[in-house]
Amino acid sequence: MSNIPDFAMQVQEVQRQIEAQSDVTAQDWKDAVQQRYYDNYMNAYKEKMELYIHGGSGISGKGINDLLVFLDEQMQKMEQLTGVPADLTFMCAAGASYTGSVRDNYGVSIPVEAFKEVQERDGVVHNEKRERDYWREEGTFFEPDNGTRPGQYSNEEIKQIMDYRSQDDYYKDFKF
Amino acid sequence: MSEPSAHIRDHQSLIELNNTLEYSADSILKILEQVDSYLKGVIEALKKQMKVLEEELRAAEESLAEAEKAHSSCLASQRWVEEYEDEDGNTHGGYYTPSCNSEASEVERCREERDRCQEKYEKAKRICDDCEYEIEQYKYPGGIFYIPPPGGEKTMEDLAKEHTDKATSKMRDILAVVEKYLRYNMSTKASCFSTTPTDIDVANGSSKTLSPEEKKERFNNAIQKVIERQQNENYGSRQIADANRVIRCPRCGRPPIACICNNTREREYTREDIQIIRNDFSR
Repeated sequence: MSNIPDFAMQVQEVQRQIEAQSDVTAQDWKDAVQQRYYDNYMNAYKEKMELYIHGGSGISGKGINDLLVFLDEQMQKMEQLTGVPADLTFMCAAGASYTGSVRDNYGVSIPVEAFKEVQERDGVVHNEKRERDYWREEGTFFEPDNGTRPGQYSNEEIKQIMDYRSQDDYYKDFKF
Repeated sequence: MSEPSAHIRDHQSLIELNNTLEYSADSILKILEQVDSYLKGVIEALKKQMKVLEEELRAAEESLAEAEKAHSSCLASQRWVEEYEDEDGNTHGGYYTPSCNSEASEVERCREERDRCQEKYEKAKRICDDCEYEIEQYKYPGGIFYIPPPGGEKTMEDLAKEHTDKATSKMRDILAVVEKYLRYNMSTKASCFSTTPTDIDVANGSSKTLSPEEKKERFNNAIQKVIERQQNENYGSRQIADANRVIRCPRCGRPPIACICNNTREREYTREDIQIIRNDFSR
């Protein structure tokens, strides 16, 4: 069984957030300044994130998607040499960032929303057809708007999250 | 050639774009942080396994050395038995005694075991080296004038830091101009620089500010468009691997993009910058 963390998916979520909002803003702002602004700043987000995910001549090395697949293959090769399961290697590597979940139960089908044909697909967080509400599986501390997908937040939700992010202890000395 | 007139129907929309950039850039840095910690973890975990193989190899080498020692001391203790004939006329002797065959086969067995361990160790080392190389490439900061180009990490870091700083600061400048010329806060009212709608607006049949419902609808449509594009592009070499592991922030338990722990971008900001951002949010 492969062990591929969902980093590429998460970058795609960020891409969604930026592109959707820039599309909506473009509806309200239509002039030469907007065109220049989008050309100079907004387009770079899409290009760089694509490069980051898929790689290409603009960056050295592999894109994150290929890199994660490559590392997974290497961990499996290592398993054949040492006998240490690749899953265990992955868990050691991810450390506290990986809390484990139902996906670890081998052979247990996992319900996938909508699309009937991929329902009960085995242990896959994402696929090209459909995505699961993967971030809701274990319950989290904070779910704006009853569990909106990351990457599809409204401006209110973004402000709420940014507000939470600003409340870190690090800033307690600042007086806003 | 004169520029076409400025046309901003809703200045709140610009603030929202700025908020999105701030939030997304911060999320990108959080993702990069988690990726970095994962990659370090992979190397560490592989190296721990290398230690096991190293230990195995060392043990195999020790066994081989012991076997060789036993074999050579056996050889040293051997003596030659001269050939002789017994009373029945049978020939005896003509060999060394005691026999070291078992020691020799033990040496052979240990040598094979050592070779096997050596091979495994070398294969594992190659795996570690390959992983380290790829991770180094990913972390490569880039040459002079970006030749060769930087790796993925630096590319995204630049995007989330310098580029976003420039983009948001430019947007704040634009907003300042907008407010200055309109002399009122447009965040609550519909506003338009040009007195007449543009051709595009007329063609779309929309010359007024979007209502919150319309905005929500358009936002959802835009998201659907992006998702469709991402799904359509997801084939061949651009296929996103089926991820089956969710990485979460160890502190708040949410995926990095939705993490609510400390604002990574603000760490590099001055107090004044933070104040400006917060003012933007509170408009």
